[in-house]
Amino acid sequence: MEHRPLLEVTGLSAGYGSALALNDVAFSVDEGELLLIVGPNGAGKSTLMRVLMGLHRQNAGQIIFAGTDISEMKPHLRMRLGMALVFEGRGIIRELTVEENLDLARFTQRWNPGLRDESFDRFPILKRTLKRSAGTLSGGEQQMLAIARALETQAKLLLIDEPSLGLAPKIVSFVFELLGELAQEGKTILLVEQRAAQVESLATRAMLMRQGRIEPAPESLEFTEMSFDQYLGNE
Amino acid sequence: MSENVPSFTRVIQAIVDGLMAGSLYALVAVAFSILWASVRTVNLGLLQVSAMGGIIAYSLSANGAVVAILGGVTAAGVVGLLIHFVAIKPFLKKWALLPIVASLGAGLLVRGAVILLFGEQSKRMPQLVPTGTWEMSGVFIRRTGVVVLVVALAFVLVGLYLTARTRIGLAFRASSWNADIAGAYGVDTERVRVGSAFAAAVAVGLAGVLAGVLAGSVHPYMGEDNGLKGLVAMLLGGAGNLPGALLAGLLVGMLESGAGMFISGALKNVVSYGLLFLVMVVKPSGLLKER
Repeated sequence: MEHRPLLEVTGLSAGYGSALALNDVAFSVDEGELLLIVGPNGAGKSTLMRVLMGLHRQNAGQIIFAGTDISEMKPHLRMRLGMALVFEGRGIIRELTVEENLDLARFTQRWNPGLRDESFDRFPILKRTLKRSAGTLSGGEQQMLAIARALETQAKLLLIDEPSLGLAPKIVSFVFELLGELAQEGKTILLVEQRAAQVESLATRAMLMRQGRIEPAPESLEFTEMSFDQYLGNE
Repeated sequence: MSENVPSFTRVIQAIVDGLMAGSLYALVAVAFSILWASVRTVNLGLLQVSAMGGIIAYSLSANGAVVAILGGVTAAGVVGLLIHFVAIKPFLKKWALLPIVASLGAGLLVRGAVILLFGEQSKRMPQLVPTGTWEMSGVFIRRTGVVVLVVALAFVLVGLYLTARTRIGLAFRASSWNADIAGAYGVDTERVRVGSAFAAAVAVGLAGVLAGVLAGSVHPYMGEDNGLKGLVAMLLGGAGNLPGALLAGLLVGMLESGAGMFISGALKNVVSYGLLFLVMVVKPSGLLKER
């Protein structure tokens, strides 16, 4: 049987005015893998996530998701097709309650009440804070809420943008452990993260992004001579 | 006792009269707030759409109250939507003033069309709802006013319930707080904006019909008074804050009524615009929270 990636991106370019943030980006994500994209600030990682979700217009290129060309598709349709974005900085709506934030996942047809129970099993704090305004949660709790909401959509592909941003080291470890669990459960994940050292062991493959370009990356993470952090000059 | 001394009865009378007028301001304020929350602009054309709603209701009044009211409201909704597509949507991502000015221009076209079709003169509105007056302990309550108050408040409260408790309401609130997140989680934010434009136009149309019923007459310029007071109430309540719009609308109505009764009828407008000025200086986000 012919092997088809879940997400296939070719020749993707996007920018802000005349400044090019993504320049001829091409990569693919296979079903069940955790693809890690690392890169310094301003490399274009978050722009890439926003373009993939349809929140930022692409200038050129093609995005094929689950066999469908979604290049011109609106965000809500991409979500209904099976993509979910965990935004950089959590992306919860602070003014809504925890429950209402979770309920946004119900706008997909795939939602069922059992998914809410799974969220509570995974993140018991959400059950206790259900009626509270999401803005009153701690940073770590907000990240749990954001991930729970994405999981409740039963997305085929999770786009996770800098989940460690602004979190205490202990919470970061918890979040990365959780990502490891999700990867083991067979979830397909595209992860953008600056703290490469802590997540490279979770990834099936990794890519480097600099100045809007995807640089040649090894086929696997079996390159122990130089960590990504060293490569990026973080260490 | 001097007429200017506020006796308890006269205070109650001022409140009752103020609530009736204020319910119309609240209706318009909620309409502007719905638009601000989801579209982030002010559709000044709604002032003329409101007048048009009243005049269409007048023109259909021979067919009975239900047809007249529904006709006026529906026509307002359709024309309001048209203004959204022609004068608001194309300019939303450009200069912020463009949709406001374009909607004002579109509103003037609507008024021109209304004058061409129905004339410029004021027309006596037939009795669409029960008339007469109740007297309770010296306080006079117009039946028409009670109907206007009940209908306007019912519309606003149903709207508030829908936004607070339903899936459509969640889509509206999520879009108004953060359209990107709402869109990424399956909310068709464009549909929410169009729905909001329609709901706002229906609300001002209803306000126009009720204003005609309350005043007993309609004319092509009737949208300005309620419309501008509604805009004042929207800002007072906190732009985009629907409960704030309701409360501020009623407050403006009661303050105006009190000023008219105890100071001078000429001061009615001064009170509402003066209050707006004061609040904008002291608390620019409005009495409740802007969103």
